[in-house]
Amino acid sequence: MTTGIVYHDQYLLHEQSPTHPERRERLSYTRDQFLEEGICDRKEYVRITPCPAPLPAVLAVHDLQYISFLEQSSEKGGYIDADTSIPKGLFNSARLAAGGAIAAADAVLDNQVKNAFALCRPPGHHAGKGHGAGFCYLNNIAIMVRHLQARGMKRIVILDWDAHHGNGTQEIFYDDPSVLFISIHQYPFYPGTGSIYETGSGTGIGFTINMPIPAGTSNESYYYFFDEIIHPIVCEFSPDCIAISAGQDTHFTDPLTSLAVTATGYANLMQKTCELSERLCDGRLVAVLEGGYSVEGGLPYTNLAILAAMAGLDTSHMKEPSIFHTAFERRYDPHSFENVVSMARTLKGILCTFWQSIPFT
Amino acid sequence: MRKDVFTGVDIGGTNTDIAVIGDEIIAKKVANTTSLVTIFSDISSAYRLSVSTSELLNRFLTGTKPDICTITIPGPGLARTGAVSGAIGHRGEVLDPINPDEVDTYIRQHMADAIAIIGKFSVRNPCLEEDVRKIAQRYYPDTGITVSHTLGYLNMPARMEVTTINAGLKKKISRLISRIRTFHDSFYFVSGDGGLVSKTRAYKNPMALYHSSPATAALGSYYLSRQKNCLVVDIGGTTTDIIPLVDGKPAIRQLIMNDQKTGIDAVWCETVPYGGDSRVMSDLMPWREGNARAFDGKKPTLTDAVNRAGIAEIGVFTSTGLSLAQARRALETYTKSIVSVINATQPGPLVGAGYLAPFLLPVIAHYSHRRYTIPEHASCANAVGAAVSRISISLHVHADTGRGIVLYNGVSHSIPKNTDDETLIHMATEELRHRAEKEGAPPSDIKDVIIDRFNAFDVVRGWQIDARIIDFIIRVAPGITSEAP
Repeated sequence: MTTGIVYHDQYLLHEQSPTHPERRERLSYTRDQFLEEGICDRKEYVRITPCPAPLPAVLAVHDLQYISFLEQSSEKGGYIDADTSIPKGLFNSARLAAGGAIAAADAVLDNQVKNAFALCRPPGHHAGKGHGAGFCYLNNIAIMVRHLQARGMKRIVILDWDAHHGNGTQEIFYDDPSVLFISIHQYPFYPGTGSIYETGSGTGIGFTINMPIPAGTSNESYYYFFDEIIHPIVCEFSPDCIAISAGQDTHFTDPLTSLAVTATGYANLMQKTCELSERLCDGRLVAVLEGGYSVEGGLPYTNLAILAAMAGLDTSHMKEPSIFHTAFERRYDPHSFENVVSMARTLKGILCTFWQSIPFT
Repeated sequence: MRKDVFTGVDIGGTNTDIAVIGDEIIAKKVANTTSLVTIFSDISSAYRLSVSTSELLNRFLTGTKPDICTITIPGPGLARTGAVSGAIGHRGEVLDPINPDEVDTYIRQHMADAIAIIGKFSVRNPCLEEDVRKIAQRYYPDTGITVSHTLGYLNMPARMEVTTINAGLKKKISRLISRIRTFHDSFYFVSGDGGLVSKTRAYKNPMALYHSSPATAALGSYYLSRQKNCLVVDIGGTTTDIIPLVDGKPAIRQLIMNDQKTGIDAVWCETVPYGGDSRVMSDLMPWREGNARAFDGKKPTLTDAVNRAGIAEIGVFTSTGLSLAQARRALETYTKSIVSVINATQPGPLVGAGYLAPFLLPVIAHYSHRRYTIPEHASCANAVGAAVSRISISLHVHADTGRGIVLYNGVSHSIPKNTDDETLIHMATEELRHRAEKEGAPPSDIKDVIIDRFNAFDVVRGWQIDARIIDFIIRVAPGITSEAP
């Protein structure tokens, strides 16, 4: 079985302004790296070309009023907030990004591939039911999850490892026990949400898990969270599919954030997640690109590391060039791990009331 | 050199075909028992000479391979064999230098017949490959060392494949160039897409000459028959190639070798593993064991079956070593195989090429319900195609306006930092035409250039557009030279 890569040349067209952090250059070096590595020529990978998401799939997540606003604003251009303008033609670009997530899910469900990575933009996880924000317009991963459920997948895990809290995704599934939403993110930070006390509501209580981490946090804290909290709870939840909001802005070279994950860290995290999906849901795993703004220093290496891990390739050379090591030293906080362990203790105390796999302490 | 006479030489598995095209066409077939020295000394050095060496390379590639040491400089990313430290970044900057001691030790521990050196992103900056080359020169002559950065249009795995093959071919092509140069200082080779390449380009990338036989058959058959939409059936010694022509041109596709894309364009054809030298036992066999008995061979072949069936009287036609039933079975197997491929391909008449075409094509045409033509000189169509082909040349262009550089096939040149897309395309077009003219292309052959795979994006640093990265390929396409009579 193979790994699907969802990509469309039109993913390079969307641009709020030529110098906006979420610009086409984000994917250009990744594309360069993939071309030079010959990724798409390898038998381990299948290239998947997406179509725009159908409107009913979009409306399964977003309010009709918001979608009408987006569609109308796309004709002449408009604004959502200071970071998020609506360039002309945005609605089509956003639908193609959401369609990329759906295409990835379909390829997995149809057994065309074992798992898939949608390298789509604009990103989506800050978009809620009735609003866009933080460079996001349509919530790609939420639209994909509802599509998976429409195709018979009952229980889905969303693991959001973007440096920013996936507030839009959290809002959409906050009262839904069929979707376990887990987010690891820098805190305090944009968008301001994502504290450990946000755990869901109504029948969805306990199905939202937030792991806020301080600036300077690196690989070891992510591994700790994975082994101590994510792994046992996801096993207990027993999903039909795992979805990843794959934001690569936790990398130590990212200019918008202050975390210190390395390419090796991404490879290892994806390997762990793939192993989990193998154990729980026949390997069904779909990753959807979210943020990541270190266009040249981080993204080509982290995106490659993720894809290599998904296909089970040797990831021992997934590391940054040595000239970046001083950047890592500057960003990394050796005390961050102690703080994370301390916070995790409190978090476990909350989670143990919802999940038997988390022991009462 | 007389520019109105064109000579083509096609070195096949059994024979070498020669065509001289001026006011008239003179074509002849010479057995490969005749030495190349004799063949080339008989050709006037006053004429333009083009050589198709496809069969030589085919035999090399399917025979025992020399031992090649492959050394890679992959930097961060996927694991590669023969890896040493060192890294070039996306914009051609040196991220990590090589470790000379590590390279020297690796080379000494892996001594071979030749060495292939491949660095990731070396087409954006070849300096690390060149550093390794300097160390390799301590142990290998120039004919034993190949680098990959001149293959600008290929990605790293394809450069690994092609550079490794080139390492094995370089000495052989160097020897062939020397032998031909004894008689002809100026000549061309035919590449797999049917275009002519200079001996310098052939020496740097001999793999480009592979699979040129279908290209010369296509060009030669079109030149001789003027059939624009047809199927060329080229009956060779070892195989039969079926080559569709649309508007007088064959389709071009990328060569795949060892399941690896090579990035090398070649004429597309369907190849059936039967030809005039295919062995006949109880039936026709898809292999060659030597010449036909008609030409002093020991074992009967398809050519002998043609003789035994009474269709032709080729060479020594009385001693075929076959029963009539054996011969008929072999001919039936051959015809059925070719007809099934033809029927699965495009409609249109058949144009025959190759020595056996006059004897086998009428039967093939009958069973495939198609009209057919066998033009005069069809037996030497490949040599005719080589003779009338034109120089084709391509440049992979990578520009980084921030660094003020443009790389043409991996070799860097300075450009002004504010160069825009249009100016760059104009500069690349001039460079391409200059190179083609320098190799001898007439202006009428290089009027039209093709640009493809254009990709460009802005580099933003500190909220400002700091540079622009531009990539494209520009080429003079292969075809028949406008100067052909």
